Amino acid sequence: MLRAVDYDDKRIIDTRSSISVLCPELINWKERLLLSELKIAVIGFGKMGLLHSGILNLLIPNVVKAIVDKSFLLTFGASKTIKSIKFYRDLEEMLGKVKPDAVYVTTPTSSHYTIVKSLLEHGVKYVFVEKPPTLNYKQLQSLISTKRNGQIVMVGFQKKYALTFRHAKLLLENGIIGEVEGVSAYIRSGDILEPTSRFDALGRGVLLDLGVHLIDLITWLFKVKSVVKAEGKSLYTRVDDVFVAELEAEGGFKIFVEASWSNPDYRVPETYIEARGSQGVLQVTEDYVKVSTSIGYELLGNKRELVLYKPHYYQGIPPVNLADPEYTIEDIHFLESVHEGQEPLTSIEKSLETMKLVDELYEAAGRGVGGRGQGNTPRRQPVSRC
Amino acid sequence: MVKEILLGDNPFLGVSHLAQEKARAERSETPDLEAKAKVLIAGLEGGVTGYTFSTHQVNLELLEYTSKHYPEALAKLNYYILIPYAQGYVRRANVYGTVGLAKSVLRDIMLKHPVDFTTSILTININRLASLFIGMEARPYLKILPRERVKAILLHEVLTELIVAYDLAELLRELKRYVERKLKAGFGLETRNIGQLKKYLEERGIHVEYVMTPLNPLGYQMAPSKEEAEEAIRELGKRRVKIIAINILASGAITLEEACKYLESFEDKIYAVAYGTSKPQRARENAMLINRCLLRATGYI
Repeated sequence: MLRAVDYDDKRIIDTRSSISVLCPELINWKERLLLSELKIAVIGFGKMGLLHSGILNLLIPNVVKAIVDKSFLLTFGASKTIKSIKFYRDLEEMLGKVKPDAVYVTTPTSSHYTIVKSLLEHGVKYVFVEKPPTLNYKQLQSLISTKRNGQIVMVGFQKKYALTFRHAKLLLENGIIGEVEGVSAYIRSGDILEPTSRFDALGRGVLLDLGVHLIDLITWLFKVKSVVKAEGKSLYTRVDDVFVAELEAEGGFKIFVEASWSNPDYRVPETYIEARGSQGVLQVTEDYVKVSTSIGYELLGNKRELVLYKPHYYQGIPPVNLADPEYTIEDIHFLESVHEGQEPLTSIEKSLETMKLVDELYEAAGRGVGGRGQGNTPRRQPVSRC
Repeated sequence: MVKEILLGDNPFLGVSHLAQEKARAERSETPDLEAKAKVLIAGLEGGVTGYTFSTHQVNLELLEYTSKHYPEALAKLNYYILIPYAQGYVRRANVYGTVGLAKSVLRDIMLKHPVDFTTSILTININRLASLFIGMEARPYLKILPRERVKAILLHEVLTELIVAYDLAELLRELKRYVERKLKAGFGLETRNIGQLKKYLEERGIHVEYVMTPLNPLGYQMAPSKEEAEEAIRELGKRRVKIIAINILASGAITLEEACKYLESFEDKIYAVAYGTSKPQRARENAMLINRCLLRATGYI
């Protein structure tokens, strides 16, 4: 059990006994995974392709056998340097020659649907697709209907593998703050601070690309009943750079959400959720969990305050540090799902709710196609979700 | 034996591995170059011997400013340069895409090193191109800093981890050669996967002069596990690799006293320790405390 820490006293807590609760992926992962002789292929050699193939190879040396990217520049340059991996520009050719057990899809979002569908039709048994899995709910449904028995598709909603968010869910489920009365949440980054046309073809912006993480967490932590209002705003692109919305939860409380990729104060993306309840407040980000309650709970070490930061959670874990720790836990989770043949925590089936809500938010904001500098959509009537 | 106490640049760049919230607060505490320079000078007064920084524009401006206004301080410090500032490239990739980023980097190299660039392209020497990239990143800083004070150029952890992950031994050897021979500096690697790196260097028979890696009693950012990371650090230290311990405070989750107590068991294996702060007083006090608990304990001072 995670015990309370009085942060002012800088007392160190021993989280190791809590790992089995918050991160079962890391229990004896080596014994289970190092024995399997997997062949993994990665499609798309952008930053996420580099990240996942790097983590995978650090976990299990040489597990990545092939990389596919349509760019001649990338595949030619990489093939001259990286000798342990075969590079292809054609997906069919790679599938025919390598016959991978599992495939990571880390291409731009617009191509996810076509590629994952093709992989499923080719009989690839295990697929990991970066978030968002598709452009919309309809495409996701289509992928689910394409799947055959035994095939697994996992989505890269990596926030669910961050121990802070997992801990927050555990505390909320145990009623630490009593009945939830209101939620405020945002995801912000400073990624887009100059004009770019990269997202024009997609027709959707920050809500789909970055905000989808927040929507995924919100649907995981709370039950959303309807969209009350939503609006997007363009600053540097022709799609939504800032998206704000008000949701109504089952239980009657309101959830305010904001997604922005154009906030210069945020060097790296940050997700913040604050839940106010009848007995206290819980705040959670990738970096910390803070709880303040009117009653002392065993889960809080019989105290009324709990403050835990990343170093309290990630003590000698995960076994690979490349970017944020949740990416490694996510990759181990996928490999274990492959090994055990079990549905992952972020399967495409479990992502339906998230993608449905994203669609509803865009519908409510009337922002399927954006216009630069004209983003403030009139408020609409609530869209029922039941 | 700990020979250097280094100040790190994270607070100046808005980087905190504890919480982004803290990073934003720290950045606002050193809003201008004078405030940052004061932190460096206070650290120097307390016993800091060097500055370790990544090739972020803020550092170029700070070092230019210090060179102009506090040349004596600039001359007294040793420098450990981390290349590149990875987040800057991640952000460029977000705007231009990975291919767009690759083209833009190639264009920059071509403009700075036209002859070497052409030779590398004609001979399809990607490793050489990577060396030119390192040179291009380092040169603006090398122009400002006293050359004898630039002790090492280290690859940023993202590059190090990818070199190990993709088994890029030839690239590593080429970069080492370039830094040592062309840039006349020590060569090093920053890593958060010290266990894997140590094994890789052994298997490939590569010796690097410096390794920069987190070392703290929580095991934060130490992989593949705290125990294996500690063992790897001890082994590398025995083999005369100069270990630069970073994140000794587990990003602020422990006190400096706790950190020092823990580091004492590594004192003969660590070459330098680094810490970051945005407060001049803390820069001075921390250096003095580290001096007391580590340097004096080893009899170095």
